[in-house]
Amino acid sequence: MISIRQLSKRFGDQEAVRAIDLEIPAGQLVGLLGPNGAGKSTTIKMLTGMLLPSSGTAEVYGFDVVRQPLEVKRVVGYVPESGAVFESLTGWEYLELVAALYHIPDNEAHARILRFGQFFELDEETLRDKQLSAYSKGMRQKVVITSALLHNPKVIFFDEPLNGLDANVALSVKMLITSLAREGKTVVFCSHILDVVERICQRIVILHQGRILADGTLAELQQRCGEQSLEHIFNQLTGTRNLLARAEEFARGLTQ
Amino acid sequence: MTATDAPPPRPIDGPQLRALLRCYWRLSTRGKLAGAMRRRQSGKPRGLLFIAAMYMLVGLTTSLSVFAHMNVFTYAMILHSMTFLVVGMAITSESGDILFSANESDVLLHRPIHSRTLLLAKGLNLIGLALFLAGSLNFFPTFFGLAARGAHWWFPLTHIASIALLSVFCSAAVVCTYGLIVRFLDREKFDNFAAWTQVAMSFLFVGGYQLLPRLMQHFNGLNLETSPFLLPLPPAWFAAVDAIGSTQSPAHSVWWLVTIGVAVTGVLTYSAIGKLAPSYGEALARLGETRQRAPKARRAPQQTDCNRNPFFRWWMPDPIERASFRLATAYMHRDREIKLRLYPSLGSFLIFPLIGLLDRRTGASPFIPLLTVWMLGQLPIIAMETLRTSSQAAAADIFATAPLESGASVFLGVRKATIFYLMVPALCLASGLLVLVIHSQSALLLALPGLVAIPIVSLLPACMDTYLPLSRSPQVGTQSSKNTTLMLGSMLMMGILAGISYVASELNLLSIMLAVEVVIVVVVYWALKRHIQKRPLHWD
Repeated sequence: MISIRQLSKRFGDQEAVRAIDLEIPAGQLVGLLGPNGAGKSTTIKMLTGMLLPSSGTAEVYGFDVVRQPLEVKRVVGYVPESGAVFESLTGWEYLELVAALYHIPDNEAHARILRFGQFFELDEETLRDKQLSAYSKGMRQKVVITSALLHNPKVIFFDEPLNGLDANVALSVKMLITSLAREGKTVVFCSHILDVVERICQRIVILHQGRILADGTLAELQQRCGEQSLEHIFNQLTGTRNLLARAEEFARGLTQ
Repeated sequence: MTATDAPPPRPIDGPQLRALLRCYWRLSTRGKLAGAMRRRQSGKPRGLLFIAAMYMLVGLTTSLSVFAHMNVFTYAMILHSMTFLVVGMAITSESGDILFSANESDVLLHRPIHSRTLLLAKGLNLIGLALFLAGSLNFFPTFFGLAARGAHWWFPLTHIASIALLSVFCSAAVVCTYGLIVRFLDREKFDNFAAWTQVAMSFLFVGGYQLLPRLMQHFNGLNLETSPFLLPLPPAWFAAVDAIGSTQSPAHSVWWLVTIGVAVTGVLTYSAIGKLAPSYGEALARLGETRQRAPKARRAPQQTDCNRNPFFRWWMPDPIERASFRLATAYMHRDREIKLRLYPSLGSFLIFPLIGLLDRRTGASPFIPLLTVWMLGQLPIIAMETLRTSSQAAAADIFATAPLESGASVFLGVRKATIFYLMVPALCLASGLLVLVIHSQSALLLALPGLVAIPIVSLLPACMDTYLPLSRSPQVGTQSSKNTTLMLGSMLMMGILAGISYVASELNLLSIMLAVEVVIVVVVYWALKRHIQKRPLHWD
């Protein structure tokens, strides 16, 4: 479903993604982890046709991201980290726009919007009457997720979808993500909330400085690193040692 | 229907184009200005009606020139020059947000839209804005034109057609200019070059309105119809459309002008949408790239350290003022959006000294220093209003969380940054030019009352509501409408002052008037500053 070969991306003299190889089959839910600046978002933007790779190839659902970007964009859904929307539109108008961009007929689009609204507990009146600028962060994120799923994509990229969500909304989003994977969608899930990744992802890929440091199931990573929690595995592979001692020393310095 | 059932991709996709146009129309009509003027979210574009009313007023005053017994071509030339200036400047200042909105990349770039469809939608959006402004500006002149010498009853129809053509020309020219910039320059150079190109375009539009007709007069008197200098002037191309529609046997030169106008507009439009669309798609992707950049890739330009510099410590003893000064300076120097909106407004103060330079041989108008000061007075206001708006408006929450009693120190820091980096250099440059051009001491003295009033004018942005930098989201149309509102407001204020100054000068009472004005300015300045400092900090 997703096939990446020696994919690289350079920004000037800086290499954000360095010759990564990855195969993700259909129906798999993959957690893509990494510290800030590891290359996660850049990789996702290349796979969604938003950024051109500097070298290497990538195919999504059999379409080449460089030669067939529009075909790629048709089969992917993307929830951006920024949660950006056109704030002066109402939720309904925004989702209508998205539906039109994917050539979904009006009546079918309306039915789908209502179905998502029901699932996310967004009432039709709010969707139709309120501009997105007046929505809470959680409501807006529901609209962003709806806009990514409205066209029934085959491959879905979630970039920090739980940012700023309250516990209930976060729970419904997590459940939706696992259900989508069970329905045969390929899901790539980027998050810094490691216990969520640990619980819902079938496979975990850890990126660091543009390279893949680890790739496997949680059990495989536990065995490789000799750690139980994903948090400790992640820290061992990418982070600073002696975190507790450093934190205690820093806090002492602050209070003195 | 599934994601793969949709029709094969087309360069220009009708349903997508319609959806995008509907979206851009809604975004344009629901700008902050429109929002501020309505109590409920009714969706009625009342803010736009306000802008239209202002432009109609400007058009009405210009249309009165028809009673000077002008022929159709000369009258149309005046109208098209004015439209070229106003619409061109507005399109130039809005185009950065419309064509290269960084926020839009996360909303649209991952959707299956061909770059040609996207660029066409944005181009049509620009044309729509241009038509709206040009239509408002020419509303009264279109009917007053019936009084022009040689005009037929169908003048309004030909004028509407020529105005539409001019709007398409202005929009296509702006899109083409950007298209060429992004095609030949990398992302690093794009920001600065685009900002300075906007300044150049502003000068082009201002020049088209004021300087070139004067140049023509130098070479050919007032015989506009036969001058070869008309050929490169866009307003003349479109004025010729009016002339052809209203004259029974138009001259060959008029046909030439129309042919050039239609041909250039056609070539520009075709180039913008047909040829430059692929590079536009890449440019949008590169905008996305910039936001991925690691901090080490770029070093911020050096700035004056106002915490150490003794002059700045004396001028701004309040550390909040100094911090706010640094914030405004950084955005004026580094931020692409601010630069694209601010820089085009900066050159306007030079226009009157330059006119004086051209008229030097025949004798420059004694009102040039006064008009220059009037334009200078607007610089800090325009800069502060520009600095009020940013796509990073959410970051302005920092002012709400900081323990500030009022926004006065923040405002004063921004104000001082605009004075130091814009006002003072502009004043030096304008003074140098005026001394070169104007030899009459009394004409220079006539400008002094305006100069004295500038400190008060620069406090105006914080008088009506709390001023906080970068605290408002940009909306299409608001920048040009704000600038026009400010221009009209300060025009009225400075006009009254100019009238009083002129009368005082004629009665040899200018020095007394200046003394009285200084006292009034000191008192009003103190009162306004106190009013700003007393207002508790809150904003929407």
